[in-house]
Amino acid sequence: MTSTPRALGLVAPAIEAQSMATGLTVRAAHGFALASLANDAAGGRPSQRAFIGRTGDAIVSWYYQPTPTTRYAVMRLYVRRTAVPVAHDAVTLELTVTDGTATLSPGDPDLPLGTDGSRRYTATPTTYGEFTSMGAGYTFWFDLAAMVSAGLSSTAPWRFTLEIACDATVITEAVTFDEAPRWSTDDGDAFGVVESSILPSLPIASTEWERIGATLEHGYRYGIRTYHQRAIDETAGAWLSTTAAAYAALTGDEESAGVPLVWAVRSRDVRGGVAVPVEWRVRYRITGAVAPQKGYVRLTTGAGAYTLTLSDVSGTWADSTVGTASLAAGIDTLTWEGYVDAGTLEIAALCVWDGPA
Amino acid sequence: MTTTIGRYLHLPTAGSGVSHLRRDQPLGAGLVQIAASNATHICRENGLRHLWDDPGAAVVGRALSMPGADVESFDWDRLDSASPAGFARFCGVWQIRRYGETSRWPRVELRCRAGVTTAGGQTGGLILVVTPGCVIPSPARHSSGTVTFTDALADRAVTVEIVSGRGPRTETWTPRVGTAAVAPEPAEHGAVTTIGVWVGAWCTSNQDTDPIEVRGLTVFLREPA
Repeated sequence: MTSTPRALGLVAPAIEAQSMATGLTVRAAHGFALASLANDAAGGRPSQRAFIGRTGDAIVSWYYQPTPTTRYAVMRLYVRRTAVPVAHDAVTLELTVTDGTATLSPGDPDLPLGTDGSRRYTATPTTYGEFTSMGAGYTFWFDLAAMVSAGLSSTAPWRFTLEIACDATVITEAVTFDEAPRWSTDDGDAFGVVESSILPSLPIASTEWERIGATLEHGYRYGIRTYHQRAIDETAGAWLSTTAAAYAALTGDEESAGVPLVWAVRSRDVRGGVAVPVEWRVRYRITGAVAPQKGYVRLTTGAGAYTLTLSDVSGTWADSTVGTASLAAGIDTLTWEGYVDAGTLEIAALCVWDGPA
Repeated sequence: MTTTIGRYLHLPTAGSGVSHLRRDQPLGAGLVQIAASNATHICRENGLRHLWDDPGAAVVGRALSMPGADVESFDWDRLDSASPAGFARFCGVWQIRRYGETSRWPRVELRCRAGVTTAGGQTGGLILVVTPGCVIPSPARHSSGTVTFTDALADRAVTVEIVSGRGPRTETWTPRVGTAAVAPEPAEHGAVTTIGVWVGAWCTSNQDTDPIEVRGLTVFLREPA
C-alpha cells in the first residue's frame, strides 16, 4: 500500500483538451496532470455542511451522508456575550451521533474531545461587544473513518444531535459542520491515483489509468452537496408544525399566512442542464394521533413534488425514511408543506443533499 | 482552447466489465480528452457549494447607524438590536477553492425574498459580506455587495465578487481526533482557504411600525461571471 501526501493547489491543473488530440505525442505529463486533476475532483472539494444559528439552551440535529472520499470533518462553535460579562459563564456541548442502529454517545472515544459536557466554552472575556466577543471559535475534529470502524454505517445517513447548554450571559451564535478535503492519496482506498507513479521514464502500470477513471467516478458520485439544511431546537416549541388535514404551509416556515417560504438553491450541474437527483429527510414527531394515523410532508422543487409518509405517532422525535427527489438544473427553489391525519405534526430538522447520480 | 465541454460523460470503469481504461487496452485520444473534460468539469462544479440557510425575520426596522452613510459602515454589533429590530447574522467560516483550473474565485450569492411591508416610503437594504475568518467586517478587509428596494416582497439577490486579500484566508488544518490525552498524529493534514460570511438588513424608517421583511435567506457559491 502506498500513501502519499498531496497539497491542495490554489487552482486545479489545467489540461487543454487539444493537447491530447490524435496525432500528438502522449507524454507522461499528460497522465500526471490528469491524475492530479482527478484526485482534486474527487477529494479536494467536499461540500456537505451544517449550520446551527443563534440559540440558547437547545437540542438540535442535522444529517450527514458518509462517503468513501471524506476522511475528516470539523465542527466549530462560536460563543457570544449578550450582557455584562460574568466570570466563568460558558457554553457546554453534549454530542451524539447515530445511523439509526449504532450510536456513539457523549464521551465516546471516537467523538471529539470536549463534546461530553465536561468542558466549558467561554466568550472573549475582555470585550463586551456582541459579535466581537466570539473570538475565532472553538474547533472539534471528527475522524469519520474511525467512526465507521466504531460501528457507524459507511452508507446510511448519520444524525448528529447536539445538546447545547448556555449560562445566563452567553449564547451560541453559531455551530458549523464542514467536511475537510483529502490531503493524501492512498492506493488502498477505492479512489485516488498516486501521482508519483506516473512520472517520465516510469512504465505505465496496468491499473493506473483504470484508477483515474474510478477516481473520476468518485468525484462525480460522491461530490455531495448539502442544498438545504435547518436545525430547530427540539425542546423550545419553535419547531415547524401543522394541524392541517391537507397539504399546507408549516407554521414557522411561512412567508405569510398559508404561504410557504421559498428557498433558492443552485443544483450541482454535472450532467449539463438536466434535473439533479437529490435525497431528503426530516426529523419529526406527531402528537395527538394513534396508529394507523400518519403525517405527511411534501418537498416541492422546480422538477416536481415529492412526499414522505411519517408513520411514528408515539409523540417522540423520530427520523423519517430517506426520500428521493430532483432539482431543476441551475437556480431552483424549494418549498415545504405538510399535513397530518390527526393531532399535530412537528418538524425539527430538514435536509436536502445530492443523491445517487 | 477548451478544457471542458461542461458536462460529465460516463466512462465505464472497473467492475462494469467494459472498462475502456482497463489494462492492455489501447488508449485513444478521445478517451483521454473525455477524462480530462470530466475531471475539469467536476473540479469546477464540486466547489460551488451551499453555505447557509436562515428563515429571516418578519420585522426589520432598524436603520443604518449613520443615516445617509455608505452601507460599508454597517455596524454589525449595533444593528443586531432588539428595538427597532435589527438583522445581522454571522453565517460561518467555510472552505472555498478557486473555480476549477481557473484563477478566479467563485461568486458568493445571497438569495431571499424581501420587501417593505407598509406604504411608509421607507427603503430597505441587504448586505452580504465576505471576511477573512470570523472577524467583524471592516471595509478595508472585506468584499461586499448590497441591494436596496422600496417595493413589496419580491425575489432579491446580492452577489459578491471576491477580491483576493479581502476575504479568502489560508488556514492550516491539523485534525486533533479522539479523546486521548495525547492526540494521535492525524493521517492527513494540510492547508485550506476559508472565508467568513455575514448577512445584514436595514430599513430607513428606523421603527418597527414601518419595517421591511426578509424571508428564506440562502447563501451559496456560483460560477464566476
